[in-house]
Amino acid sequence: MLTTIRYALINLVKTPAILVWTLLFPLILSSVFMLMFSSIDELASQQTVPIVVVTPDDDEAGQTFQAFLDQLEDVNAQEGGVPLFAITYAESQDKAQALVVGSLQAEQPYAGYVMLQDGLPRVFVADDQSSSGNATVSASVLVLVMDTYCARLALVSDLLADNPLSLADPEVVQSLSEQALVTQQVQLTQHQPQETVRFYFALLGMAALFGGSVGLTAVQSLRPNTSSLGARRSVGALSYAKSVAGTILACWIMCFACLAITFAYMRFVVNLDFGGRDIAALMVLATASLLATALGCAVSAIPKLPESAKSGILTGIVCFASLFAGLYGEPTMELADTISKAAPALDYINPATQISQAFYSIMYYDSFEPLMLHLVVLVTMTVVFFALSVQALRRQRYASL
Amino acid sequence: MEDVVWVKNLVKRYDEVVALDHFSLEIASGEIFGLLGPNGSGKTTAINCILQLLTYDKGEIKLFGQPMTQTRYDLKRRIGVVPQNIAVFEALTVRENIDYFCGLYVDDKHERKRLVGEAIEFVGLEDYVRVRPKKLSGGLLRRLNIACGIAHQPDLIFFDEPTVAVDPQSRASILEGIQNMNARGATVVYTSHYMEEVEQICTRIMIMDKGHTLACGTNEELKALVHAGEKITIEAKVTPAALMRIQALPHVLSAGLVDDRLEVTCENAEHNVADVLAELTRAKIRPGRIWAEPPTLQDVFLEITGRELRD
Repeated sequence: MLTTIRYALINLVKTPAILVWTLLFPLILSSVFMLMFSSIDELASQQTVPIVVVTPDDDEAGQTFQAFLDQLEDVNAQEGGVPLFAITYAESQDKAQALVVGSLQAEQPYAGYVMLQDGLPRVFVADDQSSSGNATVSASVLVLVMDTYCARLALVSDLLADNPLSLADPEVVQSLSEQALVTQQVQLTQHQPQETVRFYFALLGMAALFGGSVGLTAVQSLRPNTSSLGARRSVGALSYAKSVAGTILACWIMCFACLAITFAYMRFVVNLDFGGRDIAALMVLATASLLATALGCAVSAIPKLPESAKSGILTGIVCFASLFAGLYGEPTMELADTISKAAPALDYINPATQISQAFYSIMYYDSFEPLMLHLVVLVTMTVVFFALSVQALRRQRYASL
Repeated sequence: MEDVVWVKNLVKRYDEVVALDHFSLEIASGEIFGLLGPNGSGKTTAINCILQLLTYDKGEIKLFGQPMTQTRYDLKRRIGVVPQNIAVFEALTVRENIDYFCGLYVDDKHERKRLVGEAIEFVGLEDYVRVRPKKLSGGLLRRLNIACGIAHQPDLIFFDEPTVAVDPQSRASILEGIQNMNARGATVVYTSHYMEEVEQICTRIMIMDKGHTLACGTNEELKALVHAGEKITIEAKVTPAALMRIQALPHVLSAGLVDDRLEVTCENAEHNVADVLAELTRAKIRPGRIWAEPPTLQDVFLEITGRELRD
């Protein structure tokens, strides 16, 4: 049987169509995703915004503003995060403007410059048509923070006018000088997944199902009524059960190896963070590849159809299953959500949904229970697919060849 | 001696078509047994039934004295099959293909290595061991097909039309190889619709048509079945009167003109050529080249069925 496994594997590895769909396709798409999503991930992460500030005068308004700026530089750094702003001081507005304009082509351009005028900060943001989304976000952050300063200054003025005694309370003064945390970020899970990781999950799910072609091709070459090769293998002295088992095992190894390579590529080249749950992800891949092999076997068991027609059927099943699992991006994700709400039972018979949800359960739940549930469903599907193919696979004699 | 292949009253139907009609066969150890018949005569169907690839409606099959079933792997271990169509893995090299098929019969890795080496040498593919099948010529591909079937050195080998679409050199090499295998002790079942090949290598021949056995015996026994004992061909412009006189000769079965050639079929008798030439001399016709040959299996088939073998 080891010889069967060995040569079935060599044969699969040397079959270009199989390698294209199970290995090259996900690797190429991963690379495309990496290029597409790199800027999105950068946007999602907090970065220090470089700005220029015209050095405030040494009067009361200037000192207040300077204290605010110092606090902005410190506040995040003290908590181990990155400071909100990296401030460069300029002596005059002209010099500040020159610094901003001069940095437009730099890797990290200044978002703009700020100067105090009549006690209030005036913000000048860089207006460059070619600026990236990142630069636009930095300018927005600058404007927002300065608006907050103006609002707080107005509050102090109001307090002075309406209730000056309140400013004698040290707690009130303290609260005015602190950075107001209007929104607090709370992490729901132990791990913080990247926004774009679900697209890679979708890709892994689809690649796993395309692995069904491995099972289809290999099992077709086993059956005496489909090819001369199948007939010749059937008259060999190796027990047919061993031959089938060895071939299916080789398919699973091949399918899993391709997915594992894709996973390693995502993990170490794309630098995708699976939240430290790499083993769980590999478990999903192992189960998904077994399911794909079983699906390929089941399709190959359809009688009286040429291999090309069976291949078409398999591709159709994978594409439809992937569509209803939302593996083609945002619009289909909405479609998948709608279907899940309207007919949740359909999720349990869609292998693509189960694979993608198994991946989601790794990332969005601390408990392994949801993952185990999906794995059980996937294994059940695998058993059903193998059961469907048993009748065709066990048959060695035919009325005609 | 116990029969290596024993088939009794085998009936195989494809819907309304009877592919094998009470087909019986007995092949003794050490024979090269030829199954001769036109395309569709039932040769491959018979082999596929014997190998348990096809179901059959009726009959008994025994190999090496044991009933053959699809799970008799002990019997299958002693059988080699060289199918009509090339049945190898396109993605594997020559050596890998032979090793794979040998591995279906032989578990021991070292033993297999030896057998594969011998098979490669036997079919003369030493220079192509790392080549994939698609890079091989038709003749070399056929040799690979044979090596895959015989690498485990079986006691009984089925060759199903192994020389189809093969150049004359490769054909001669294949036929010589089959005779060598037989000399080593293998019993060979050889199907073909090329009568020359069957005549050349087979010790016993069965002529089949439409699922029936028409005749079975040695080459000589089969030829003895037909009336024609000699076929004479003479290049000559024969007049109708001379032709009539030749047709009237005592041992002449038939005579006719084909493209300025006189073709005469005679019974077994002495002086047939001399008698025909005497008639030509009498008619003052000068003969050109002259051929005289004994009857072929083609003649046997023609006489039994009234049709050409390759119809």
